[in-house]
Amino acid sequence: MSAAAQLEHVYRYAFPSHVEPGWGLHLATSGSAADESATPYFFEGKLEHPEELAKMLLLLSDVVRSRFYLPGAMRQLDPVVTCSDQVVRFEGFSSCCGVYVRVDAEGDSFEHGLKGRGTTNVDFNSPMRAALGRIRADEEVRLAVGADEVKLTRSEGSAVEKKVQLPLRWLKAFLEVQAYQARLQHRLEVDGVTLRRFLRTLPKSGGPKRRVFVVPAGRELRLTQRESKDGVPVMGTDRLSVLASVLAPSQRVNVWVDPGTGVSGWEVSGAGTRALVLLSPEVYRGFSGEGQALRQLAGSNWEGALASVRAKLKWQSELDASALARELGRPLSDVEAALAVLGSRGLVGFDATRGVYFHRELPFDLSQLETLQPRLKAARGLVTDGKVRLNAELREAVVEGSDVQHRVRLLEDGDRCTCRWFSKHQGQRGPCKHILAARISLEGDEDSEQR
Amino acid sequence: MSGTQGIAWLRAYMAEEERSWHAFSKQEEYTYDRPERMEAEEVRRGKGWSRTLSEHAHLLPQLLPELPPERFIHWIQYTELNALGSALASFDEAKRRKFSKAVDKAIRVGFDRIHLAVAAHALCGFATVKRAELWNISEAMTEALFEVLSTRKPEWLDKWIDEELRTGAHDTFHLIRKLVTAGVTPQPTSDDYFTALVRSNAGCSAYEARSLVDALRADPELVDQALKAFELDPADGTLFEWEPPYTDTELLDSLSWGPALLTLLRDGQLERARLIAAAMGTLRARIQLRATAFYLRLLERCALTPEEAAAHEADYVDLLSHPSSAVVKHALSALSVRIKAGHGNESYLRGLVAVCEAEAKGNALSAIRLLRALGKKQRALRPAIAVAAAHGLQHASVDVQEKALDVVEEFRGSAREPLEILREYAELVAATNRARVAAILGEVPAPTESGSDGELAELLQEARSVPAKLAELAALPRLIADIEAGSPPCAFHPDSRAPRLSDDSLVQPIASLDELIDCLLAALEEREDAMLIERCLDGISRFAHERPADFDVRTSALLQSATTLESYSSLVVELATLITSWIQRQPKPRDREQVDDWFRAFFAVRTTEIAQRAKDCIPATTLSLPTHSRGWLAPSVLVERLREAQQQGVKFQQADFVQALLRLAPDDRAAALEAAKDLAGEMGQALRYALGGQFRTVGAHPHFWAAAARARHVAAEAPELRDTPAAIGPYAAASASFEWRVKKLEVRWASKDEHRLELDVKPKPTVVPNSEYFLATMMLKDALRIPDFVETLPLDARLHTMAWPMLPDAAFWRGAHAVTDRLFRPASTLTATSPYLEPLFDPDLAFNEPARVCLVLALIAQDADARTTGADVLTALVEDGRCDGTELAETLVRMHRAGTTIRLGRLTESLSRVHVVGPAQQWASVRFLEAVLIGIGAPLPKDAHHLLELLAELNTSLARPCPAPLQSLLKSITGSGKAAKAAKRILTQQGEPELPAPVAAAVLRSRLERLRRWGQGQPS
Repeated sequence: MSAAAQLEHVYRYAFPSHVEPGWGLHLATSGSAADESATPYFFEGKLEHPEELAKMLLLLSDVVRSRFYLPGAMRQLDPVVTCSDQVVRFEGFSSCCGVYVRVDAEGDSFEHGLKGRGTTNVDFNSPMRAALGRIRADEEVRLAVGADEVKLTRSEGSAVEKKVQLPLRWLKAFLEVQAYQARLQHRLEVDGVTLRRFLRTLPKSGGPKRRVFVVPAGRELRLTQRESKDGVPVMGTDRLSVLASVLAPSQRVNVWVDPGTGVSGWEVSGAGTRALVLLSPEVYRGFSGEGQALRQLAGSNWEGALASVRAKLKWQSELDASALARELGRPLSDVEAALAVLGSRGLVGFDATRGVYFHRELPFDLSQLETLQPRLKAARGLVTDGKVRLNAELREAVVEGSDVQHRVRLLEDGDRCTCRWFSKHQGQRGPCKHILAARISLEGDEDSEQR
Repeated sequence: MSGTQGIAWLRAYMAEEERSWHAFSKQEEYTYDRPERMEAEEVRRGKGWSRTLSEHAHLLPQLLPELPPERFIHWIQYTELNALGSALASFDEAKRRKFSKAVDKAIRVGFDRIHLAVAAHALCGFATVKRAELWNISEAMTEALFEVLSTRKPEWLDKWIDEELRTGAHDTFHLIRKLVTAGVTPQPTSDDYFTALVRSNAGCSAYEARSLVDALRADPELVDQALKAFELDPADGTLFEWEPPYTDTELLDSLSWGPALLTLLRDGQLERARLIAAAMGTLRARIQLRATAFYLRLLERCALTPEEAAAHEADYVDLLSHPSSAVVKHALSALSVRIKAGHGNESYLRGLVAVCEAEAKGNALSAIRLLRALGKKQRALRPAIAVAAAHGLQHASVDVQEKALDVVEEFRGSAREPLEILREYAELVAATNRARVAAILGEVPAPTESGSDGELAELLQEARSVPAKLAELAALPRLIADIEAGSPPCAFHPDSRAPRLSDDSLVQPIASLDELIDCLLAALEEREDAMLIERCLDGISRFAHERPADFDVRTSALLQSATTLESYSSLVVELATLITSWIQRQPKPRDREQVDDWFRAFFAVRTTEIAQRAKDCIPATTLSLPTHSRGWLAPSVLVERLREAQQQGVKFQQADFVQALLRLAPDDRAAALEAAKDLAGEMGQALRYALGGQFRTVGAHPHFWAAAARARHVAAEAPELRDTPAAIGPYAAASASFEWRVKKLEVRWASKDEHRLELDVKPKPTVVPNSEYFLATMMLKDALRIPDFVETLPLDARLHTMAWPMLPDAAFWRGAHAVTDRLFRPASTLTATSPYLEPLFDPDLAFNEPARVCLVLALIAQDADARTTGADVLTALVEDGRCDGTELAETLVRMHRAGTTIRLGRLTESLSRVHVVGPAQQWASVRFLEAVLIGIGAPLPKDAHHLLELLAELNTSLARPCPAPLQSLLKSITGSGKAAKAAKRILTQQGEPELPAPVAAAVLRSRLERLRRWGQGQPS
């Protein structure tokens, strides 16, 4: 797939999002991919901590409007909102796909007012950003996600329609990022002021090009290039600076790390709202090209469980894999694999703090899923074209490449291939097409043997 | 001439001209310069054709449709644009169809762009119109296009306008606007329209006489639209710019929106209140920071009256929490006027707290000044003001905290809330303000690091019980004496005999052919792992003979990678050549034309030796494969490898042997010497000499002896080799000492005090040999050459540091050159700097002069990689006692005296990553700062306040009074500037001059830790 591959998408809002003086924040929702004419009405309630949520939504907007690698070709793509019984979640990506941000407004941060459950795009415009910046802690502010019929009728004529070229890699990043979150391990906890003071010590421009680690030093944090077990790896320290605007003394910051790849998650927790900023392993690597879920997609152990797990999705804010496994009478590993696959299909997200999946269906046309996974597509092509010679006994395969043969070994401590992709990334960015092809062939072989 | 007669004449004229032109073309067919002659003739005749057609423009609507398409294309190119527009506008659909294909074809061929574009818009479909790109269009062309489009009203017009606006409409905005005002098309409402309006300067461009102001005067509606565009914040860049890039300064006033709007304002053609409200609204809208400058400048130029400022009071309060410090400064300035006039109110407080929490120190100080002024005017607000000021303690600046405390004390009265906030931030307060905070809170300040005395006593007891010989090796008696006397402990100088090998740093050799192939594939991808390269060399050497039946399949991809490799690393290129020769069983070619990199030449010899053995199918472990990380080789292992090689009759391993000798670890050498007694030949003799055995005669291989001497004596002279063939240059038989100086080179593109440094190092004795086998000497020769262009990958840098782990001086000098290149430039992935410092993490490596030069340069470099690793290295050096700060200060002062511009703020930033680690690092930072200040002396540089402020904080934290040698210097700093204030703080600091107990405990703890580590090894 070329880097420029795009999907035409239309945001249709009944009215522009805005802050109504004396009332609060009206967020406009867009029709879903399935029903473009619909304007979902998910939520209306009074915010307990309006300033905190406003700041975190501004953070979300800042990330969505940023590009941290190779400026230019910027696209401002509207965030996604998911409303469920206990949490209202907003998700977005930077234009470079290297920074993911999610803001979770917990049930106790508002006087409950759930009107519906679902996921859709939400309009973030400049006037609303200005108004968000003015919301104060002591104000009485209400939040509405979508609008009722009365409001829609009143706002007739002010509909907003935005045609955007949605880059497939942006969409793909949404799918890939879930796999990373499921692997995050807790590494650090500091207060908001400590992190803010640390962020101010970072170079404003021309930061380190090599990987650095954030480590605790007494009450403070410091930057080092020496790897340590309590250090948080970061590449592109300027990407962290987006957090500075939301940090306050009363907030806690939990930092999560995926030790295998160096992805770090920075979660700021306030009184009732949490903001998670997830940084990709390197500045030039968006989450889109990672291929973390490919192995599972190429496998088949989830196939049996997938339909039944999917049938259980009812906009839950927490999906307990063990409970689901018990309920469905299936092995836990199959259910976990099915959830991971659903994540890679945009049907569930992962909440690292709670260690659970949650149901949300991305409001985009995901029919091109196969296009989003070119390696998987190429692997299937290799199998179909008979370019895989498998030695199932030795768990080895020779895969025909262009002018060269690639040897694939499916080993217990990690699959290996002799291609350049694998040599360069050593499996950190998911399996190469040759490994996937060998895996598909092997599973097919084992299935036929079992039959 | 009647109309009919005119048509006939023109028809005849055109026919005659075409015939004549054809004849000329035929006549010129075989001339060598036909194109030039044809072109010149066409220009000459073209003038006549244009003149004639212009004179008969009124006949063209009738004549042009008659022409066959190819003649039509020819003649429209000589028709005046106005006349062409009028003529084409009169065409009906049938006539359009007749010519549209010919026009499309001509556009594809690339004929005259301007006339064909008009024809395309008049006659063709949308696909052709898109092909006829419109750029740099003149007023006449705009008129012609307007005429054809307004008459024709093509069904694709709206689509064309959308497309033009989407791509910026830089040249067509004026045309689009004309179509809108003429009612041909409705007013576009998309953001693209407003963006195009601004970016096209309302349709004016640099080559037109019309200025932006004139355009806005001519079409006042555009002013309203421009103000509407204030609401936009496009993601693909800024919209309004005061000084648009690529604009000639002379044209700035006529093409910049800022001056244009101000001119209209001055002339009363723009309502002032609207402009101010629009600019204010945009700033409040949290647009991109880079875009704020325009609106801010607009507001500044408008110079709001007190009444206007009053009307926008709420806006200004909102702007106090703006992320741009310039915007905040502007708002503070406006509100300050309001407060002085007695208009401030409680709503200001929230904004002023936000300013105190933000990073900009100047703004925070202004905010606190405003709080104070507000408190003086509004007595009722005083408790709330004290609360707001208390938030100023979050700021990292000592001055901000100090001023905030002033306000808290002045206005608190009996309110409790400010105290609660002070208590919340107490831990964040700078050391110099802690006592004051405690006093306000009514608390007794906590003693510094209480409990350290007890720990120190225990550590001293443990230190006194260490056996005398070991204690001497770790210089414990002197350290104990220093601590007991309360004097600063001296830095520890590690002995090269200290054991280095531990079980947790073992290197695993490659175990199979499959693993070798995997490792080679990874190594070709320039991974930063230098040990991987060493393991690969050894792997090829050991598995060269293995040729399983599917060898070709297994190595197919590897061979392709090696033969098609494109690498920045010359060493990886050498490895690729080795791989190719191994797989193809061919001798490895060797490039000996010109050696400009002796380390690479040596590496090439090593790989050639392995290739020879591989070709001859002689499997053998390389002698030099490190057994432990950082490149160390266990002596007993080398003895065994050499014995095995001699038994097998392995040849071609001279370079391998030299490299192995330089990697010999100091551990267990006596036992290895005993085991090596039966090793034969010159190699055996040289190895025994390296391990401490008796010197024999230098034979045919003097480089063996030079390397053995370095393994044995490290940096010291080898008296045994004097007057032998091995006695050539430094680090052969002789030791080396260095004379270095920095030369300041002015760089044309740099700012005033930035420059490049040339590090000029002269070793003694000078380097003479020209043989790569003298590796230690030749690496030094490489390193001391002043490079024209510094480009090194981390992998190459690490291979250099691993070549002689005991004394990586050459790597430090190379590193110093690399950092020098990055002193005033940001980090680059193509110039590795930080890997050169990594050997200093070895606690038993001496912190010698080359290392100090490299480290000082790293600490003051703009290169953030070098600075971060520099801070890490300094932290480690202090932690294990090798650096007490003063020796580093000496090097820095020497550089300062040589004229190097040292950004003291940058140096302080590096130190701030060191002193936070612990008391030992705090102490070393204090010693370093004091020594630097004394070394630089009066007058201090203007940015010395950075050093003084940090010193004041650290001294307070350690309760250390100002040492006598520094007092006279500090007393000489007069005035009320930052430096003077900090100097005063340092001078008034009270405390005990002795070594603080926590520092003493930390130093002693690390020395005992060193002994414990040695105990785990096997010191010789």
